[in-house]
Amino acid sequence: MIEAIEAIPAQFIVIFVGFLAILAFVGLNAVLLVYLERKIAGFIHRRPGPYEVGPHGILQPIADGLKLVGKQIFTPTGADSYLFWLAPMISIAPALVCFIAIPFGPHLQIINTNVGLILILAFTGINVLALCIAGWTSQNKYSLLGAARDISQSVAYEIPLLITVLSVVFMTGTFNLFDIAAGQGAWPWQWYIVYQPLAFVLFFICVLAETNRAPFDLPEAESELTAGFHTEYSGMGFAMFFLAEYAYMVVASCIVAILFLGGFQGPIAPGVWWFLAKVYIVLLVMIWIRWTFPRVRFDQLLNICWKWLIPLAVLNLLITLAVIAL
Amino acid sequence: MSSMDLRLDTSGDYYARKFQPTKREDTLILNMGPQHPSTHGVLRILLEIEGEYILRADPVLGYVHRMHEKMGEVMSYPQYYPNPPRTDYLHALAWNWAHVAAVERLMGIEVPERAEYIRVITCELNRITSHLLWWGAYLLDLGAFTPIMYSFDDRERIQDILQRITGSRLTYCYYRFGGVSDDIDDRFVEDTRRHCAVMKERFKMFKSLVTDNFILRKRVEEIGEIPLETCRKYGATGPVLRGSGKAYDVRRAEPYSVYDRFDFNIPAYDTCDAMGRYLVRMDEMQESIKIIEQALDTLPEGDYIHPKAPKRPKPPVGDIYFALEGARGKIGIHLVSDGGKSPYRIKLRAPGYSNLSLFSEVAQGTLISDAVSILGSLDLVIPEIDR
Amino acid sequence: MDEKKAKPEKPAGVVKAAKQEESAEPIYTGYDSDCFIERQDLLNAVQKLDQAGFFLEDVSCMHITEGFHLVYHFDRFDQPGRMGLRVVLDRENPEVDSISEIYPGASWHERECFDFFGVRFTGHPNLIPLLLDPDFEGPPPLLKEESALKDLNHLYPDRGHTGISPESADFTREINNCSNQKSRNKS
Repeated sequence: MIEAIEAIPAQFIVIFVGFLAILAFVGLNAVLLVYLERKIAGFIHRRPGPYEVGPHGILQPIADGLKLVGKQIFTPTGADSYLFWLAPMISIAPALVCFIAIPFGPHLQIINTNVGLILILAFTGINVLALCIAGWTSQNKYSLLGAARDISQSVAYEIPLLITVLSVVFMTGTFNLFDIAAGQGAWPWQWYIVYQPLAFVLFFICVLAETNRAPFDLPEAESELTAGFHTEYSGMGFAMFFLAEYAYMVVASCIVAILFLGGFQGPIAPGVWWFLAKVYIVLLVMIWIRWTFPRVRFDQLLNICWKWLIPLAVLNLLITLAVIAL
Repeated sequence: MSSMDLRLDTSGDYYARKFQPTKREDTLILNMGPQHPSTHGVLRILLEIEGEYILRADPVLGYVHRMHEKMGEVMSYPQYYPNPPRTDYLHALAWNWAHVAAVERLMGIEVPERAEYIRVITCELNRITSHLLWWGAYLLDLGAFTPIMYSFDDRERIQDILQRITGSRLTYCYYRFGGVSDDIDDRFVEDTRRHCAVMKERFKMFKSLVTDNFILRKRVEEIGEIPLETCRKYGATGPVLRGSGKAYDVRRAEPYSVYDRFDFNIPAYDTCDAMGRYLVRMDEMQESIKIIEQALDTLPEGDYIHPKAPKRPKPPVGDIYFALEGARGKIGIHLVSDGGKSPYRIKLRAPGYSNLSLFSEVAQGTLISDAVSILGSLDLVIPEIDR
Repeated sequence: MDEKKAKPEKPAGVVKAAKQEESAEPIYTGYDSDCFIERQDLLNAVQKLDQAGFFLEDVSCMHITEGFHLVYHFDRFDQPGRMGLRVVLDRENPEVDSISEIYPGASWHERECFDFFGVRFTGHPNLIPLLLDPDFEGPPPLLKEESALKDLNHLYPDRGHTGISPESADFTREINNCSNQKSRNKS
């Protein structure tokens, strides 16, 4: 028995245990984020937020989850049921994979790979496919419009996102997320946000757009397209998209924290706490923005990208290259 | 599996079939409503879209049609009290007033001065609640969720004030032939004054939080431009007309009650766009507060209802058209009496009806997002339009 | 913003002059000018009102012994004053020219009259049910029973019911003089 376990390469065991940990982490995060989002929204609205289920409503996300699990699974007439139910799975799976390359602490990383950044960018790109399939197979015109919006939005915002990432990569000379984090110091003035403020702003805007968060939540714009691509999804289908959205938010915040905020670096406390604190600060800012701003219009969204973000990102990259060359 | 059929089902309903013949091959017909988050109730709009651009738009009405006009003909005058306020539930008192005043004027019932002042105060309070709700709902349409919570906060407080006096929170039925149903007391005056002072501070916050927001301005400026001539051709009134640069307000143009005693401005913006209409309403709330404060300062003593007001009026033969300024525009009631105890014909002119009729023209060539923005800026209350 | 209308000058005071409660005649009618016109003159008259800068408030219809009585209410922005155009239609053939060419806003008001009374408007681009269900069967809902019908002489006593010509000087004078300034001052 023990021999049999020993026969399995250690790497596999790490990945297996890591994956379980990731599932737990993503689930826990979603629960926490749902609660946080509702409480913060309540705070911004000057109302208590969830208050009934458990003390201060802390069991509300669990009640929400149970409700979604208990709902009828419903496939619209005329929809392609295979693709229709495949879409939420395609959406959530890559989000989980992304976490294996993220260094949560100096010693807490499942795989330390040299292409960590590329891996994450590649896998997050798959989400577009999921949303596209969901919109297309729902047999609903609003879903279709939502999917069309999502594709043009994602395609447009991938470009400045990659270019800004490149400026950091050129500075550090590596795609390895651990090395990037380790290359920064413990104190805020040693983080890359100081060297690359423009890249940070651009990257953050692109992250909002890529994760379909307000004010760029056009694919699911409620007041225009009812619910966009997930109009027809009920119960767990909707929950998967929901979970995926929060998972991508966490991934994106992790990347922001690693690239610009020093990752697990920080004085005194252990690295993992610093990392989580930074991730949650970024998440809070995202929530704050969502509950403050109106939604932009579709053509404005693309104009921001093509007319401002991409030229600025290229400029930033050129300046970075010039400074490195000198 | 078959690919998605992009066209409307050939067995679409009556209106969809009527809408179809001029359809091009490469366009999509979209039913916006009657269940859609931003059509505020049960308005349905048939859209022919190319990508996200609207080629044609045609509103379909009648989903909450209740035939208030027929009800008016079969009920006696006092029985009809609660009906007009239920058409426009957001500015119910204005409709209540229109009905009551039409009968009063037809019969020549005198209204005590104090009652007129009470009517002005409560009607203006109601106008503020209506505009506040519009403000929140409009921003909800534009994707900002927070403002509606702030506007509801203030609106609830005004409703609390009105509830004590009128007995209801939404579909008020407070005015009676010859006065109002109950007198106001010191506490009402005090509460109203205090809340007016609070509101003035809140407007500053609304301005810095929302009106000056860059994204909002991009969503409403130069969107849905309605030239003044279009307003005239469609009979658009109220903030829609004033947002197109014409300072026409029934309170000034055709003064009724005691409005001629108060000093207030009629805001008008000649930008003709959704921003113009937005700013008109924001300014109007402040003007309403000005009116309320003046009315409270000069509130006369006296009866709140004429002691000899008839309980079962029987107006003389004749017809009358009475118009007043509601939150959405000119509310009109055409009342024809044959001398009996119920009207021979009562015709309600809903301002939203005329305002919405210009939507098809304005929406042409805009994006779906803009159509939502235009619809919101018209401030529609569907039960009023369907009647 | 700068277009603030001057406050109408008038003595602050009396709300309304109402002397007796059961007066035989209404004190306030809301019309500053109203006249009957013949059915075939409608387009011509509306054209004149359009040129004079009126806007359409609504189209009100009622069922009377003679047939149908349509009242077109017009008002003006610059010189407020309500003008009522009254047209009487036959009972057998309730048909009148549509004014939606001149006032596109009339289109819905006419559809409403078509819904409620079955009055047909010739030349209307889209005369289909608006407020009623298209599958609604039965007589138009606002038609009255024979016994309840009143005639023009009963509803509008003490005035002529014959139409004046839109070409006449009377009509032009009515248009030009249509203003509520007088009643505003009186109140």
